[in-house]
Amino acid sequence: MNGISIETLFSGIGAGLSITVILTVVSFVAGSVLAVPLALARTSHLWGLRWMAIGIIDICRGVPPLVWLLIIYYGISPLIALEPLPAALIGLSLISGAYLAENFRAGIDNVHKGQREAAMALGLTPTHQFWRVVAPQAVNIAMPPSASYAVSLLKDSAKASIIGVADIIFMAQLEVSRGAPAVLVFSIAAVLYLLVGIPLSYFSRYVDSVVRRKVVTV
Amino acid sequence: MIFERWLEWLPALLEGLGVSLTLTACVALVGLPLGLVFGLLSTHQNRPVRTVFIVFIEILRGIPLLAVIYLLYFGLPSGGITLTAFVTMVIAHGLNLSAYSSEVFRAGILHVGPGQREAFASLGITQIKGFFHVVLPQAMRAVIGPMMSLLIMVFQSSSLAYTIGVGELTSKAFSIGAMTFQYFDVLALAGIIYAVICIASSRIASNVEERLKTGR
Repeated sequence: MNGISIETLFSGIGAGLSITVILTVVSFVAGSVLAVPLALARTSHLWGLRWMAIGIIDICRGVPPLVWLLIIYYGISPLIALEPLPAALIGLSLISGAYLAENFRAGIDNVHKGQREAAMALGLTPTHQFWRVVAPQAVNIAMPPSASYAVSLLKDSAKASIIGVADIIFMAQLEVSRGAPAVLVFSIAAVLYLLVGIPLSYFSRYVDSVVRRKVVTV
Repeated sequence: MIFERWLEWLPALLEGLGVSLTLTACVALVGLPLGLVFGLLSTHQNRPVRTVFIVFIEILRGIPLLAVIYLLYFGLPSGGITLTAFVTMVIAHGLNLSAYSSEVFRAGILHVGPGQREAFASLGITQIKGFFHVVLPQAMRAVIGPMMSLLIMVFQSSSLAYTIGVGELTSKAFSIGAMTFQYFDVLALAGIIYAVICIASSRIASNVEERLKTGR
């Protein structure tokens, strides 16, 4: 315990906090962008497109996140040199894209059928029917589960430490290797995750309560 | 040819898969009963008891599984407790599962309306007997679907045991990769094995859930 105080441990482990937040935010945003075409293909009338989307979503979700990260970092880096952080961002974005696509799909499916019929009766084109009437309501329905997905993405981001991304867990391991007591170090790491995660999950519950008040579902 | 290599690696990977499945079963044996207890305590009539357990579950759910694994694996030996990597993983993952499953049990218990309790109370059936014969069977119906999805997640997360050297599927695949330098090929095969099991079992889970919903 020479020269180790809780303050220095907190600042040492806290140095990984920004990377954890970057991992979570970037892969959530990139995942949302990926999820839109996937959800559209998933709800398409063309069976070829629909099955392709189902295949992509199932494979992205069926392979464990850790295995994705190992495949991308160790498997693809001989072809294209990837640093740990971009490799982790690619992996987590793919996975969150698939999870969010399922949320968006459920959002589209749960918009009341009458809404589309009403839009049709008003003479809106199919494109307008979807983007002006169905999509805004689908986003509302998809928002609460997506917000709670952000909380689990925060925890999934810890797996990036395994391929060497300097996040909270990685910095904690570094402190342990320097001789700090493991129980204390990983408890501090846990507290840091809670400091980000608890406000995030309160926010997701808030989103849920707001949306519940304004959405008409099937 | 990649397929020849896959055939060559398959026995080792299937052996690892066996460990992954055993691990998943052990985690379920620890995590589900514990989750039921936590679920009951978080729906307890006594408000302080309820609050303490809701907070406890919230904290446990907020910590990444990896942090729990490292805390136990690297922390317990300094307290004089040395456990094998497998047992450490079962405890860490079991605790994690208990937090998630308690939420499912809680929702299931709350799903059974207060009228049921009033009905068995008026019939003179005791609290405990009524819980096991009236509330629990009905709660189970609402619980089974989400619980199956939870167990699929447990099977996926069992890959984290790789970090502390339990010889499960991911560890086996990675060590073959380290020996042959064909990381992509062997990890892809492991990924396929995981995906096949997860996709098939989630199809079964959603079928079961659908049937329970319609009451057949």
